[in-house]
Amino acid sequence: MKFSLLSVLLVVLSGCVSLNSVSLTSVPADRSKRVAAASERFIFMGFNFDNDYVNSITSDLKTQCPNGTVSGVLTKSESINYFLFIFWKSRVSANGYCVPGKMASANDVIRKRKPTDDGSEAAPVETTEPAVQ
Amino acid sequence: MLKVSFLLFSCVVVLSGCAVMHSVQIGEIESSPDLESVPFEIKVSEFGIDLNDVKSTGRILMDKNSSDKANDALTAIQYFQMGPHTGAGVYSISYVDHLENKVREQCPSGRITGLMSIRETAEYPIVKGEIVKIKGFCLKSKRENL
Repeated sequence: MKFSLLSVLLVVLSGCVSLNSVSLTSVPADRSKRVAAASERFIFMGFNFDNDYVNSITSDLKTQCPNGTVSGVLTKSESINYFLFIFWKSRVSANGYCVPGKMASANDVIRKRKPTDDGSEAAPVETTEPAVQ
Repeated sequence: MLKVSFLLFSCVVVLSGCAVMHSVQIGEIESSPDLESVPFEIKVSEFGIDLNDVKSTGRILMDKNSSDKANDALTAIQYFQMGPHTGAGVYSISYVDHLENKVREQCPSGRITGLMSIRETAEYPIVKGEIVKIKGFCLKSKRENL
C-alpha cells in the first residue's frame, strides 16, 4: 500500500516535459567560454497573461559576454507538466559560446569577390561594413 | 453580491486573454564597449478563429438540430485546415511578410544584434490573436549620440 502510494506520488511530482521549440545559430570555432541563461514561469490552470519573462535571457547572455559575441546559441522552449495541466511550468533556456573581442556577426562581414582577368575565383575580401545600409 | 463578484471575475478572466508561447528563437548577441545597444520591439498580429470554440459555443447557444448542422459544416472546414501548425487558423499569413522591412525601419544602420523571435497566441474565447514578436538591439556608436 505504502509502495503504491509512493510510486503514485513519484509519478505525480516528477512532471512530464515536452519540448515546444529548438533553434541553433552557427557554432564558433572557439568554444572555450560557455555562457547560459534561462527563464521560467510557473503557471496555474493556464493563466498566463504575458510572456515577458523571456526578455531577460538576452540581457543575461550579454552580461556574461560583455566584450564579445555570443555565438552557437541553442534556444530551447519547454513545458513541464506537474499535475494534469493544472500546475505546469514554462521554461526557456539558451546556451552559447562567448567569442571575445572580434565582432564576428555575419551581419557585419561582407564577403566581396574581386573579378580577375583570367576569370578564376579570387579570394574573398572581408570588410567590416554593415551588411544592411 | 456573490453574483456580481463572479460576473466581474469572469469578465476579467475572459477579456484579459491568456498568452500561449509556441516558440522562441535567439540569435547571436554582440556587445562592445564602443557601441551602445538600443532595444527595439516589433509586434505583428492577425485574428485567428478557433473552430472548436465555435462548435462549443454553438452547442450552448443554438438548438440541437441547428448546432449539429453547424458542427458538420465546421468539421468540413476543419478537414481543410489539417497539418502541423501553431495556434488557430488565420485568413492570411501575409501579416509576417514585412517583418524584415520593419526591423530595418527600427534600425536603419543595420547593425542589429540579439534578435529574439517569439511566436505566441493571445487566447480569447473563439477569437485568438496570433502574434509574432521580434525583439532586438540596434548597435549605435557612442560617438553618434554625442
